[in-house]
Amino acid sequence: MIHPWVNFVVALPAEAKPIASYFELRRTTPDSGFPLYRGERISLVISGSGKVAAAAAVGWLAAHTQGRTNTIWINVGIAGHRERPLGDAVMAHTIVDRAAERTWYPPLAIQPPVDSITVKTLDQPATEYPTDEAFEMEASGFYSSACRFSTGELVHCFKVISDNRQNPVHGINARLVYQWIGEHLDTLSLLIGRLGALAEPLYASELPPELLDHYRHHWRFSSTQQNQLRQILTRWRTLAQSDLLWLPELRKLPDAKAVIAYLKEYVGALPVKLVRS
Amino acid sequence: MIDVIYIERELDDHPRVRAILERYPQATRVPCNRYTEVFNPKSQNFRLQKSRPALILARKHDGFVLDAPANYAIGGTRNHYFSHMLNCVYDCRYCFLQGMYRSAHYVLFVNYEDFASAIDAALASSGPGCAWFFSGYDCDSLALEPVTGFAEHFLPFFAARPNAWLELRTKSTQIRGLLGRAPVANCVVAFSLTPERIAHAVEHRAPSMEKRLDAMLRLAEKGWRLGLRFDPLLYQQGYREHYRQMFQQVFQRLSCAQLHSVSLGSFRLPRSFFRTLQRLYPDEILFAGPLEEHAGMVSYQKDLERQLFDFCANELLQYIPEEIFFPCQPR
Repeated sequence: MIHPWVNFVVALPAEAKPIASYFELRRTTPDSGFPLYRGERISLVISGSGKVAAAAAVGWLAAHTQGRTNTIWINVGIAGHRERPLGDAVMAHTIVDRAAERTWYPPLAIQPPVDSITVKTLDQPATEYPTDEAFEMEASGFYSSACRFSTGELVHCFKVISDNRQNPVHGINARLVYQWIGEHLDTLSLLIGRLGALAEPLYASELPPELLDHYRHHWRFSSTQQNQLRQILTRWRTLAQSDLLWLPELRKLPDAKAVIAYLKEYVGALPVKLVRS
Repeated sequence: MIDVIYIERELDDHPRVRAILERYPQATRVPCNRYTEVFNPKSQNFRLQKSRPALILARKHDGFVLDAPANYAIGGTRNHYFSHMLNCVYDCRYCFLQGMYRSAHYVLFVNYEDFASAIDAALASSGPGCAWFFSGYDCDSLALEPVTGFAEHFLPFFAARPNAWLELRTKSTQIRGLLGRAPVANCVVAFSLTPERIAHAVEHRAPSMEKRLDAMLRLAEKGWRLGLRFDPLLYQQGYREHYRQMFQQVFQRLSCAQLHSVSLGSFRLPRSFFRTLQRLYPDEILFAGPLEEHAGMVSYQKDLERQLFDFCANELLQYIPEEIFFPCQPR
C-alpha cells in the first residue's frame, strides 16, 4: 500500500498535542503563519478558533505542502451536541454554515469509523442545542477551503463532543480536550487507513517524479513539452503495463522535441490489449 | 448495498421513498433540499465515489421526456428518452456517464406519475403513429428494479398505449418482475453485449455474457421481444476473433425469431467527457488506444473504426436479416 499524504487542521493546541504525539510529528517554527507539526507524510496545523482562521490555515498548509493533489484533509476538533455523551466522536455527512446559509455534503465514499451526523458551524460558541446536530466553529471554513486542494471524498471533519445540555460549554478545559481527542487516535488512524485505501488508485496512477526528472536531466523541456511528455509516458506505461519507460536510443536524440516525436511514434505502435493473454 | 441515502426534504412522506427507506433500515439518512446540492458540486471524484455510491431520492421538476440523439432509432421516426434515474450500478469503463456527471451517486426520481404525464403529452403532440421511448439512456433500465419498481410501474402504462413503444436497455438479470407478468407487445428488452473477455476487462460488476443470455432466453420463452445492442464496439488486438466468437455464442442460443432489433455502434465520446475519463483513469488501456478527435468527438482512428464496424456488421448479417439490423454508422 502507498502511504497517503495527510493534513490535519485543528483549532487548539490541546487538540494538536495528542495527534502530534501519536503520529510522531515534530513541531516546526515557520517564520510566519501558523504553528505547524510535521512528520514524513503527515502535517498538522493549528488554525486558532473560527471558520475564517480554519480556511486560512488550510490555504497556508496547502502552500507549505506544495499543493499536492489527492491529499487527505481532516479537521479534528470539539463540538457541542444536545445529548451525545462527552468524548463521543462523530463525522460530518452534512456541514451547515448558519451565517452564510450554505450547506456541504462531504461524500462518504468509505465506511466512517464513527457515526456521521450534521455539523453546524457557528460564529460564536453554542450555548443551546436546539437540533440533533453537532455545533462548532471551524468545519465550514475548513471544508470549503480544503476542497480547493483535494477532492471532497478525502476531506472530512471529525468532531469529539465536548459539551451538551448537562455539561455546558464553560466546563471545557485543555486537559479534557487533550483527553477526549487522545481517546480517538486509533479511530483517526483507522479513518486515514480507509481513506488511503480509497485513494490508492489515484496515487498509483501518478508517474514517479524521479522518472520525469530523469528525462529533464537529459533535455530541456518547456512547460507544454513537459505536459506532452507526461501524457506520452502515462500512455506508454498503460499500454506496456510496465514502469520501464526509457529506451537506450533516446540518448542520441538532440532535443526535447525530437524525444517527444520519437516517443509518440513508439508508443503509438504498441498493441492495445484490453484482454491480457 | 446502499449505505447512505440522501432524501429531498419535500419527499419525506412520498410512498415510494418510504418503501425504499424500509428496504434499507440500516442506511444513514441525510436530508437535503435539492439533489443538485449533493450531486453537482465541483470537488467530487467519480472514480472514488464509485467504490461506495449513495442513493439520492429526488423529485424531477422538468425535462421529463427529451428527444433521443440522432442514430438512436431502431425503426421508429419519433424517438424520445426519459431517465427516471441517473447513473448505474455497473462500472463500465467506456460509459459516458463518468464524463458527464461529477458524482457517481444514483439519483432516483420518484415522481413516476409526472414522467407518465409527460410521455402522454409527447405522444399526443407527435400525432398519429408510433413513438419510441428509450429508458436506459442515463441508467440501466432494470439493474435496480427491486429497489425502484420502475418497470413494474411503467409496463402497465405502456401496455395501455399500444402506439407508444418502450425500450428497456440493460445488462442486468433483474427480470423476475417481467417473467411474472404477461409480455408487453410494445416493449423491447434490449441487452447490451460485449465479447466476454473484453467485457471482463471493462464492464466491472456487470453480469457475465452467459448470465445475460440466460436472462434473454427466459424472457424469450415467455414471449418478450428482445433487442441486442452491440454498442460500443471496442478495439483490441485480435478483435475479429473476439467478436466472431461472441456472435457465434449469442446466435447459438438465440434465434432471429426471438429478436426485435439488433443495433451496432462505434465507441465515441464528446471530447470534454473523454478528457474527464482520462483524468479519472489515466491507467486505463481503453483510453490509451488508437483514438483521435474529430468535430468535438473522440473515437477510434477513422480507418480502424470503419474496419471494426464493417467486420462486425458483416458478421452479424450472417445471422440476422437486414430488416432488424440498425447500425449506428460511424463517420
